[in-house]
Amino acid sequence: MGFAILISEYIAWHYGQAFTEILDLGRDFLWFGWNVFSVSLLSQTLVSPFYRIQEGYKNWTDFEALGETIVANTVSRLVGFLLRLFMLILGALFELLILAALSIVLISWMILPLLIPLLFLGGLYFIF
Amino acid sequence: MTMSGFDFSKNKFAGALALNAILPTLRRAQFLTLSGAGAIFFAALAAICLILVSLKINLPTLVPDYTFFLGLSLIFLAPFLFLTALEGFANSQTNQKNGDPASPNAASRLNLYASELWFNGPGFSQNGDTESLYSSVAVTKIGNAALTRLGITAQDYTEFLQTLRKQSGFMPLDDFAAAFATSEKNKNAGEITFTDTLAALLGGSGAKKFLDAKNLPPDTIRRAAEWLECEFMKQDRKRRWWLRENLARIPGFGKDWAYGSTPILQKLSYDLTDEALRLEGVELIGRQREIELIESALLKQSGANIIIVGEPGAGKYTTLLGLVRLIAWGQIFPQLEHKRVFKLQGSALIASGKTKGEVEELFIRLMNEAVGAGNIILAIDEFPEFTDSLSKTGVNALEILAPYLSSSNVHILALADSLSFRRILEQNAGLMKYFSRIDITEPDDKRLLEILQEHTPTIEYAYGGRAIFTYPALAKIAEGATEHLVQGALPKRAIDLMEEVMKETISRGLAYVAPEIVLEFITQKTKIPLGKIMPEEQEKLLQLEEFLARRVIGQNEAVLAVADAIRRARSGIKNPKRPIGTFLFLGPTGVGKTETAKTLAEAYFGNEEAMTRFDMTEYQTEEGFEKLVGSFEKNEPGLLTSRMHSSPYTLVLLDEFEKSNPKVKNLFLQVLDEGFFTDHLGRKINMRNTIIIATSNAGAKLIWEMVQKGADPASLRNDLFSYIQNEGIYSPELLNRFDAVVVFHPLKPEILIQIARLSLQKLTARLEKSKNIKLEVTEPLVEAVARGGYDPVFGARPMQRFIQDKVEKLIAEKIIKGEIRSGSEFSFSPEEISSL
Repeated sequence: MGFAILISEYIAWHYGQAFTEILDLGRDFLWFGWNVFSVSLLSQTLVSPFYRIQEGYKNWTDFEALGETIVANTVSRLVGFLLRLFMLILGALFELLILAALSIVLISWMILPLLIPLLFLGGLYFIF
Repeated sequence: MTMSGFDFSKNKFAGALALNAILPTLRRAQFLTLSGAGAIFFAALAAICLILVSLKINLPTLVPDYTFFLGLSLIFLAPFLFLTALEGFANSQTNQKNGDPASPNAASRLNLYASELWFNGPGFSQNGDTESLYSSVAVTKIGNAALTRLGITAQDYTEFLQTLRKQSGFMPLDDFAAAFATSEKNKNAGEITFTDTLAALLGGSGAKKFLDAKNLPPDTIRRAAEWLECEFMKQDRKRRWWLRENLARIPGFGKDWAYGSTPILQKLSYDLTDEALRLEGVELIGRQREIELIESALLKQSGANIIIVGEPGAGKYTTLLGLVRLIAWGQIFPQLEHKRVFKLQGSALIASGKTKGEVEELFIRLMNEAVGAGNIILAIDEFPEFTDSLSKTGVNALEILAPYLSSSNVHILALADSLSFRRILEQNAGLMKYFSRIDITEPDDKRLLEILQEHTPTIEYAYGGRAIFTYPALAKIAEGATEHLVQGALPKRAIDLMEEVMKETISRGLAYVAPEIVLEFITQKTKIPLGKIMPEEQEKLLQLEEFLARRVIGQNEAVLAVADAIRRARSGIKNPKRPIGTFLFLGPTGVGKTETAKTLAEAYFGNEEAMTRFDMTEYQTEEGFEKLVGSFEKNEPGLLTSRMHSSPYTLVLLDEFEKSNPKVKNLFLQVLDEGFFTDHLGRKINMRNTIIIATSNAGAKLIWEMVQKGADPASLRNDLFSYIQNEGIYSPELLNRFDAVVVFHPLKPEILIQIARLSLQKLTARLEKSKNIKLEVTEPLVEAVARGGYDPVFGARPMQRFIQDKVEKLIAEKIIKGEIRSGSEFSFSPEEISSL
């Protein structure tokens, strides 16, 4: 009796609730990528000085010092920008990977009952 | 499907449970790993072959073609996918563990753990009796855990089932399920939990004897089972790493790039994140409210600084770590999301500068850096002491901190012990106006037990799982720590006790921490007799009057009152919120009041030295009151306070209580009633583990006169009470607070004879032991001592002095003259006796 219940419940789940759950899982992983690669924070602070390293403008008449300060502050922002951009690209790649994986999983899930025996038979075919 | 309203095939977990029965979880995991690893391994081999072939490198003829490996990889991949799908099914079906509370079918109302119990018991079968369900308790993981936590061994349980079988104590499943479906709790349909099922199984009349023998009331079974269900659910959620709440715990990259770097801070303080994340498994029960208060206080636009005040051990630091953990997990308001909490090492700061100027400069630089970084919460532990030691080096902490305290770019989160807070900071209104104060209070009984349950896995793990706590032991630890231990605050006091009891259990080679061990341990520590009364002690308790009367002669009323009080305390029926016993001894001097107190100390605490004596004539003035409880202005601790700290388990003797100041009397009014008083620093000082005896000479003259007149004891008592009240010596409310007011009678001649004999016997014993000489105690000698050692004012008190001055003097002369030698026996001549 247990086996019969298992089969019937499984089939109902596989072609019902499982799809929502896979989508939920995908959504959570996308959220995770967004969070781990700090996408919101990094894009909001894209051109902020790196680690707030910045020099104050003290004497507006000393052009040499002024120039040095401008260069130093620009470098700080530039380094910050490049590193953040790099991290954002990594984040975007991760998200794309999740999206791709999600589509593959969804498609395979639909044909899974057919796919499993096919893979097995295919394996046998390749060996012999 | 004969069972009315109970059809297990409709249970929502039936499929997942059936899967577990066909292919158990562990086996599935093994196959899954194996097939996955195989698929990857052979795919890798196939890829290598393919690369080698494409590079035109000839492979040895024995090595098969890449298609062979590809084929193997696919053969492994097929079961891997199959098992993954099954795993997904099992996880999905058991994700929500609740039963369907509205279903008319009782089987559908079972939650996951109750379903496990039914499935492994009767399963889909509707026939038979509850035996299979009982057996299932010992088979399922949660059932087994419940038995263990209740201190029931597998063998005990098997024997219990055998007894039930012999007594035909199993009921038909039909009846059991039907009774269940309409039982009080579930009548209006509702979820049926594992707890409900276990309570129903063990709540029947058949189990009563078994559980009574184990001292397990139905309530304990329910609560232990509830704890386990919670624990199992928590563990299951933690195992599901793919849940959003678990994914959120992985820290991100580049979170701090937009905030300033903090070299000085990193040198003089440290980031608390790692420490907070190590608080694995601890849910900070009863601290959520405080953490929420801190969160909302931190959201203020500017000047969001907090001071957390509490007793040492009440959980200030744990609360702080709880906040840090929420930040690390991202479960906090967005404004606080990227905050970093640094703990300042105050001593390092002070030690880093050689001069006052250097310390100031460093402190200012550190604060500037924190402001510059923009995301710093600076935690300062022992804040009052920190400001105090800064001021000792001449640095005014308030002056330095003031500009930062109103800034919105840095928050200060100070921790303070209540005591030092009151002593050093509370008066400093200038500093305090910048802080929101959050008080950490001690948890109540229920919360305390939950906190102990939280800590159980951690402590068991720390001791290598060599022993485990039973639920009744945990309950006893909570109770014992609350009632009998006084050092430190809860919950730390209870958690420390847990660790100590764990060590004790392991050292005894036992596998379970049982409630008896807890009680024995507390007794060992406090000398307060607790736990099961053993036959030897039972006999002593029943013959307590005899024991007491051997030392306290001729005061039957006192002996009876005291013996009753001890038995009441020992049997555990006394009110735990009051002292063990409280007595007022009324009577003339030298009639045995102090002796009774000493005897009581010996009988209860096992040692007559366990007595703290106060001469209340020293506390007649208001200064006297301060001397007793301490003075805030002079910052001096009180005598009673410090005595209660050093020896909280003692008999407190208050000599001549009537002479104390009314304020002192009022203080004791509270002690007698509630078992504690508040000292000069506002701390609650626990006196619930003391016996309090107040003695008083008030009305001694009246007692004398009435005894002379031959008044009967009852009228003497009445007259004495009305005299005391009319004269305003004791107020009726004070008299009524004592457990017993005992009237000591003047000693009659025959009693004096007895006392004299007893005192002389003590002397003889001493002489025999130290000098090996034996004094014959003759009747004339006893009479002479009784006569000479009695004083109408001081009663029998001068007797000891008399023996020393007269009898011992005579013996000393005899020894020096060489009249008595070692090993000889001697007596006094009638002349010598008359010269006494």
